[in-house]
Amino acid sequence: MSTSIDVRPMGPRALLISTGDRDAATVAIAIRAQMADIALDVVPAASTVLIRFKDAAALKDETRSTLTAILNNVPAGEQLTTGRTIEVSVRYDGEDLDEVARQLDMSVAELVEAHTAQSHRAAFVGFSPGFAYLSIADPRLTIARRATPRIRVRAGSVALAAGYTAVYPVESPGGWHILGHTQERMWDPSRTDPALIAPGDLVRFVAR
Amino acid sequence: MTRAASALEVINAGWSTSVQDLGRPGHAAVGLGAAGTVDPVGMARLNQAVGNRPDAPIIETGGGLALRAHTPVMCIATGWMAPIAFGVGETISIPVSSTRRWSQVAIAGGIDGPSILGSLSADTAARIVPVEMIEGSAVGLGDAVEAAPIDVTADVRATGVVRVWPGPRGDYLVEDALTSLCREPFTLGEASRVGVRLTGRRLARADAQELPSEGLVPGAIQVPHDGMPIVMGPDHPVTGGYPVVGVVDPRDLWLVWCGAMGAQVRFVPRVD
Repeated sequence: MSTSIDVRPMGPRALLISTGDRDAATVAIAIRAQMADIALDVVPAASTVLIRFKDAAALKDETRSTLTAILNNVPAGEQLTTGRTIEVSVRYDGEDLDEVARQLDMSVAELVEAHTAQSHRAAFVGFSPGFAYLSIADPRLTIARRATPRIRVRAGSVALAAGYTAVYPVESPGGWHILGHTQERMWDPSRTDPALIAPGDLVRFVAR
Repeated sequence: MTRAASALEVINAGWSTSVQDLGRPGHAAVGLGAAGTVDPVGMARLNQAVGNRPDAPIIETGGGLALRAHTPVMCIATGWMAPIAFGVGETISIPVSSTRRWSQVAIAGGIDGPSILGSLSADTAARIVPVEMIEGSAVGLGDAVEAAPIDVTADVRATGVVRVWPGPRGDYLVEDALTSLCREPFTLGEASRVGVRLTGRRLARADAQELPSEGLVPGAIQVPHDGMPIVMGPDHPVTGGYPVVGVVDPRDLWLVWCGAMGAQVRFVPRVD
């Protein structure tokens, strides 16, 4: 069963799709696979996908019918992945590790076990370049943001908040709980693919 | 091939000076915007005036920029009627303009440097700066000369009105979005390469709801809860949580981005 498809123009070169009960990253993967020739950017967010086109394709009826066909083939709730699994080795020495364990009523060992036991899927990227929101695989790890954000969180900080886990790709302010740190370069503009993690990737944290 | 690795020296960096070309589109899904020039047509025109490829990298500045020539250079900037030849030791000065927020400077050969993801554009939001433009920086020139200089007279583009398209979240306003955007002129307020604030008649929000962040485009008109619109600039964040109630036509975006602070813009619904 599919719900009605909400596609709205954002100016002459882009369309914004509200994905409703479909998963936005999954819709984005399907669109990228089938519209690579005309799509410049396919940007999943929490419940939308923005497509920026190379030309005026956004205004054409045939683009909309192609999109409708693509969306009709994405079942509600299905979560496609890109097929990539990225291992990120983490030293669980974060400033908030003990406090998070206490709040979640777990031991630190149980917290680390829960964070590393399953792969987390990248839903979308936002906040700063390469900051991938990874949907936490274990619902026990749901925790609100810190009451007071930090002015400075260093690059490579592995963090938890609001149903997601993430690695801060560059130094920035931040309100998430820091569980640990990684040496992996999450963001490097000198690489062809500057971001280590893209929407739809699976990420497996490994304690070291 | 670099014609001269240190043809120019930055004597005074001025306001928000950067090197720009057409940017690096295509990385929005991993959180990186395109960045790029505030005025592609102006950039192409100035480049052609010194014989460059239309897309050769140029300098954009809010003014107060001074460059010393360490090799003879041909240069043209916004508002100049023709290129000027500068000899060794001479200074190219770009003052703050009373009519333009951003001035562009094209130099024969184009700016050269180590491109990042295919572009020399600085991205102030992502902190990507392929060519530093601070006091003392040495700036190289490339070999983008491809033709005889074209005599470009003054910019003949219409400046009266700014065409605007409907946005996806017009229903977040009390009134019809295009009608309220087009009713009275707005005044250009504070700005950076990230966005331009508009002041004028408040656009009343229909609700106090938060919108989950969603993708943005350059020229997207966001309306925060205070009802004063913000037009997204070339370095806009890839996603944002304020409703987009309209989008400035790409052909007229330079009027909003380059118009002087305090100037007025009048939106009209785009008709094609």
